[in-house]
Amino acid sequence: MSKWENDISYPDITILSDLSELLGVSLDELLGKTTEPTVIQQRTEPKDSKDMILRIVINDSDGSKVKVNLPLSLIKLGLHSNFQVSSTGNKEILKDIDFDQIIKMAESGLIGKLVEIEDEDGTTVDIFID
Amino acid sequence: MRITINKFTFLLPNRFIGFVLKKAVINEDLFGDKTEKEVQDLFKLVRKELIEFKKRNGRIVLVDVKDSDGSRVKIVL
Repeated sequence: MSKWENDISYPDITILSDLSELLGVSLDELLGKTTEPTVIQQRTEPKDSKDMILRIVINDSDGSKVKVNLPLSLIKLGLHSNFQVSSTGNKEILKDIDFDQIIKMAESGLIGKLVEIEDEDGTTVDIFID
Repeated sequence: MRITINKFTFLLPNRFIGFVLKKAVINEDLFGDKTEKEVQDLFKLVRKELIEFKKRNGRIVLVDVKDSDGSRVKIVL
């Protein structure tokens, strides 16, 4: 170590990782590149539910595609008023989906694809919360 | 609100949102035993909610339907 401090020789590169761990500093700090330890802060604050979007994507077996994007607050409003989400193209596939439960899942922090259904005729329905 | 039907695009003032949604997204048979006033009140709330959402989050594609015959309907708020 003293040889390194006096610029006489340098430690073997293969021990640098162990050395940095032993001293509790990063490799950059060990090599003198930074003076302050880097602190990485990752903020993952959940989105307010009133700014979330419920996305419904229907790929019908006949080739038609339907995408509906609605604010979650709007779905809540519809459920509160005892309205049902419309089925599209006379498909009954959406009628059994519990949107109240989906909203509860979203409010508890679950986002992404929450529902994936494939009908017997090949129609698929995906429901996302973004 | 921008409504695109195939190659034609129509620009409508936001006050028509309730009317357009009623025709485009929600079937009238879902209104059940609600009175016309109840339905109108609901769509006023829908319009208010959508406009506030747009103010907070920007433009939103509400509906995008591509039919198997190539026709397309898109509603952008």
